[in-house]
Amino acid sequence: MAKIELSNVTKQFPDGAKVIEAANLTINDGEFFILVGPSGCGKSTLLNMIVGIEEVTSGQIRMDDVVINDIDPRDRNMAMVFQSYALYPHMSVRENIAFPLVMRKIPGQEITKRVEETATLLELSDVLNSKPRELSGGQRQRVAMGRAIVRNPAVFLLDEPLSNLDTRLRDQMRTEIARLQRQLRTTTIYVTHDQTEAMTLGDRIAVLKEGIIQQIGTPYELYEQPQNMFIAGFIGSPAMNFFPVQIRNGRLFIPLLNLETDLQQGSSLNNCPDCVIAGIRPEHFYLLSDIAEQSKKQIIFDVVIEIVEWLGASLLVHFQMENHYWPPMPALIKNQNLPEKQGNRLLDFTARLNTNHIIKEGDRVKLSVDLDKLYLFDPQKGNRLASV
Amino acid sequence: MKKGLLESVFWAMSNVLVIAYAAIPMLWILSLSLKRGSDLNDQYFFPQTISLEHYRNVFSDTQFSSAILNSIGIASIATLFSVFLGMFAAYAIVRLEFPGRRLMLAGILTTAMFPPIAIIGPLFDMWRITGLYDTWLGLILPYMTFTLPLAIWILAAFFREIPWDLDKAARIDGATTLQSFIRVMVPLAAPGVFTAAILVFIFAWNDFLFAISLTSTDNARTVPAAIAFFTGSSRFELPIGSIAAASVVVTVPVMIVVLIFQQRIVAGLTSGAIKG
Repeated sequence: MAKIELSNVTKQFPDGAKVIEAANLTINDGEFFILVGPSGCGKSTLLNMIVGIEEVTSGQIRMDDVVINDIDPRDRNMAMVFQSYALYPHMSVRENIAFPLVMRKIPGQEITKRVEETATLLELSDVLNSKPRELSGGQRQRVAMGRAIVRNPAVFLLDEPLSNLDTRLRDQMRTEIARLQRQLRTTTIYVTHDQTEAMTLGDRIAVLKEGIIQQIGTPYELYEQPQNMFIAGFIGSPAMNFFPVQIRNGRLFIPLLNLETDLQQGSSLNNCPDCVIAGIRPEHFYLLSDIAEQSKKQIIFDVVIEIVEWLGASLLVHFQMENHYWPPMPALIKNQNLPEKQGNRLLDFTARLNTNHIIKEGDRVKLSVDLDKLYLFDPQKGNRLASV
Repeated sequence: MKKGLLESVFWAMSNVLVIAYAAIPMLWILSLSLKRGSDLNDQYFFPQTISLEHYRNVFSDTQFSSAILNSIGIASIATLFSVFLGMFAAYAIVRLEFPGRRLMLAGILTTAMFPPIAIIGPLFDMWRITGLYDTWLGLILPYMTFTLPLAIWILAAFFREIPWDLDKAARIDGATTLQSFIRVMVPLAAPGVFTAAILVFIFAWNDFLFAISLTSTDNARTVPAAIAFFTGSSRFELPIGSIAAASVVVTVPVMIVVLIFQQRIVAGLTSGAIKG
């Protein structure tokens, strides 16, 4: 059991590349903490620094208020599961799981007992004498987990442990890992690039981009109150739709729909830059006929469906919208946050609808979105502005 | 797809040619060693009468038996040291980032290309002054030096294939750097270790140049050098039969060693470490 604190942890490689910049984190005792971000964002480097196989350039890592920057990995009492599993191929499953105990010079009987217990917990008892190459992907993954939990470490570190499994097995192992963590209550740090894994497993999540922590929060906070466009686009699947809007004289103008609507009285948005980026989550679109009452303020998208993906429980529809009123917004033309397509005139949208209605490709439908589900972002800095 | 007749004939012919090219000199020596002394020039490929007189001669020669002992001892010790040092050097070169790493690799390669004949003269003088002339150490040192580059390159190639994650995992599991090296890295590089050991051993076992130049008595003279000193029973007799018998005696152990370890030089030992 342990609490991990990072203060101003920076990692710079000899060639000058900064992989992690001033990371500040507190991971509480017993917490399931997720580091998530696209590949190359430095999340694995951060994990390697916590476990001690990568040196910290500057800053402090503390474990239960003791600075562990210069402590050898073998003395940190942390266990790690690698993306590649890193099982010792010349040892049997039994020897693999026993290895950390042997290294700690624990008596033989005790080792046998604990290996058997771990194997039972992970349903590996039948394959204890097999070599890793004889095992299936899921079994190898469990051996790697077993090698980590057998010595009751203070902290678990998992580096994309599920990314080599097929989808079905991945879902199954995800649940198993969650159950195991609830059972053992060991502080766990889990690295992934998959936002679904992050959202379903984590007590709290830190989102990284280019070595900088963008936001730390519960899955709910990240989903409902993303601090910037990157998080808004990264969390949630399918990703949020972005499009340009304009604020003028206290009114919101959506050039895509040639629509102008009132802002709330006294909204702080009046001080915002003229042109901003708006975002709508796919699941916040509704088919207009589905909505009984129209009390809330809504905006209506009148669109032709291009592609329909039927997922059983829900329906993903893709459509494009042309921005006829583009030229008045020069500030947005070269915006890197907006998808570039036909000079930013054609924008892609995805909506998640329920399956009550049959929608075919080529159908013309009216989709509505509650105005309070609209997120607004600063086009230059990308940070979120006050709600509409 | 069925092979054409012409293709089968072509492959069969090629195989026969290659095997004949490799095997005929060996068989010839074997045949000579089994002929009677008087039949040596009888112009038959197969001995008409099998006789073991040359083998008897060779083994009754005290010079030869001490040469065999010298060969085994010197080659084994040189192999042991070369592979042992090579393992550490290769691991360091593959895993550590230190200034001058590339220069070091290039330097190692240069040593391997250096012609041994060029240093024989100076070495002879140096060994006489330092007292290493005609000793085991006097041969072990140059064998080790000249085979170390080969050992390092072979082992470095094998270490490079081992996923680095295994090393990290061992360190996190509580192993020291040395424990991780001995318990995880070396077992996985075993095929490389065997390959290097065999090649080093064969180099030392077969060497004639250093052996003839740096030895003078039975103290350290190895088999290739000893064979050159064979004499016939009279000064009118060429010792061809004895030389052939001695050659067979020193070739067979090497062939057996290679055949045994060939089984171990199989890649794919690392399969299962990583997904796949």
